[in-house]
Amino acid sequence: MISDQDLQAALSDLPEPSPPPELSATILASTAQLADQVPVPMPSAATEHRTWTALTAAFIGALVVFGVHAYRLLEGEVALVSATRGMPGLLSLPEVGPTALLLTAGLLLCLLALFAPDTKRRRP
Amino acid sequence: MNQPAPGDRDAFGLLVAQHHRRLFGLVLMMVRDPSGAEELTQEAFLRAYTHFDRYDVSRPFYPWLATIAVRLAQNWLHRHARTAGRETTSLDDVLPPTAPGHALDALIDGERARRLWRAVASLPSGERTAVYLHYRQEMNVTDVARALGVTSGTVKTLLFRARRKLRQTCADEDVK
Repeated sequence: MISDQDLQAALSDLPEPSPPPELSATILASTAQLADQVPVPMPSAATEHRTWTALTAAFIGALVVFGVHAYRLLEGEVALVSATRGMPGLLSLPEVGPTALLLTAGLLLCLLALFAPDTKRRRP
Repeated sequence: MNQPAPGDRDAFGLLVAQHHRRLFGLVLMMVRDPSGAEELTQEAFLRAYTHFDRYDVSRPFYPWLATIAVRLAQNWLHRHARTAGRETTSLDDVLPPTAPGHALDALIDGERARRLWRAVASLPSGERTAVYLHYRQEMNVTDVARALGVTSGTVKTLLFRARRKLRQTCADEDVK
């Protein structure tokens, strides 16, 4: 009986049938016809660019949010462990002032970047 | 490997020139009908062209194209099974491996090569597709699994069963 190794070698040499000679030309002609009828969506390049923009914006938004919290912690506005120091906890939100605005802006940027609909990308 | 810039017709023409023979071989192995294979190869390229935005340019082009072709060929087999009105679920009963007959002789040179091709073509559709993609077209198990829509473990099982059957077929032919 043929060994597994010989069989695998034979299978890798399996003949590749020749397609009809006009197949390539037929495909190209159909493609050209299709391209004239329907605008073909460009691939990943535009999508990739959008993805990176969204990720960068989300990262900046997250950085702003964490930055605001770090600033408040360093300024003593909040404490890591609120119960021991009698102060608001780290996750308590500022009610007014520039920190509240900045925090809102950071959160909005983050959310918009992550969940904004992709209007440029067309899915056939 | 650098792929031609997608979207433009000339670049796509290069992809067609590079892969149409390979893809035709795969589809013919799956459907075992030369005119069906021709039609499906053309359809697969058209789908690839119109859905090019779904192609991840960081990955090789052929496995993606093969996945499209495999799905189209599977649908074709199902359609033809229904048309034939068979009660059986085996698609292989619908198209016997010898069906292409003379057409196959015109496509493949050499009796020995034809015998091997027929032996693989007589396997159940999942096994012959896995064998052709993995051994002939040198696609790794993960890509084969993606193309077939199954797990890597299933592909390994399909390959194991196929090798066992092919060894048996070869042994039978030696006895004759």
